[in-house]
Amino acid sequence: MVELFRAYWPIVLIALAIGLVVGFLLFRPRQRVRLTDSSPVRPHMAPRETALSHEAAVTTQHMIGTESAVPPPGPQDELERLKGIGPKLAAMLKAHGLVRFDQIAGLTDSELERLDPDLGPFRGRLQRDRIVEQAAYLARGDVDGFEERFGKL
Amino acid sequence: MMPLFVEAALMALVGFSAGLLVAYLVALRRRARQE
Repeated sequence: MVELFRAYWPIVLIALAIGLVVGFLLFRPRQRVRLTDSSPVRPHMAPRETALSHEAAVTTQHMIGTESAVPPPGPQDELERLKGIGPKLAAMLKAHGLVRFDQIAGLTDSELERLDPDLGPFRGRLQRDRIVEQAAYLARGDVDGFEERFGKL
Repeated sequence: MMPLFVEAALMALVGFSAGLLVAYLVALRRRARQE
């Protein structure tokens, strides 16, 4: 054996190198995905909202006394006309079912307090920009009064 | 006696196997370290 190795060591060396390269390629770490129960649920993996679950959510909201997420029937107002409300905040308000000026004008202080934590980065904006007051003017159609107090529309 | 090319092939095979074994052991050690 030693004699053989001595005679063929260049071949053994080359074969060893080839074996190493092949082995590294074969046993190299691959990306392994393990799905466990604790894997976060991505948006596309979330269970679909059925009509029933939507109804249940609305009922629950009704029971606990929060604003209904279902906008009332009828025309919707352009909430962005209110000073301090941009497209994002308007979308958030619409998500809470607030789509008309008269709805916003009718918000009580306690309702505002309940709504506030859901507004994320716009927290406190409704009070600071006197949105309820603004909405009351626009709900009445008092554009002159609005412009006098809050500036041109 | 074995023919010369058989001897050479055998030695190449031994070398190749040794290389594979080393690569496997290295991968095993790396994996154990990661966990």
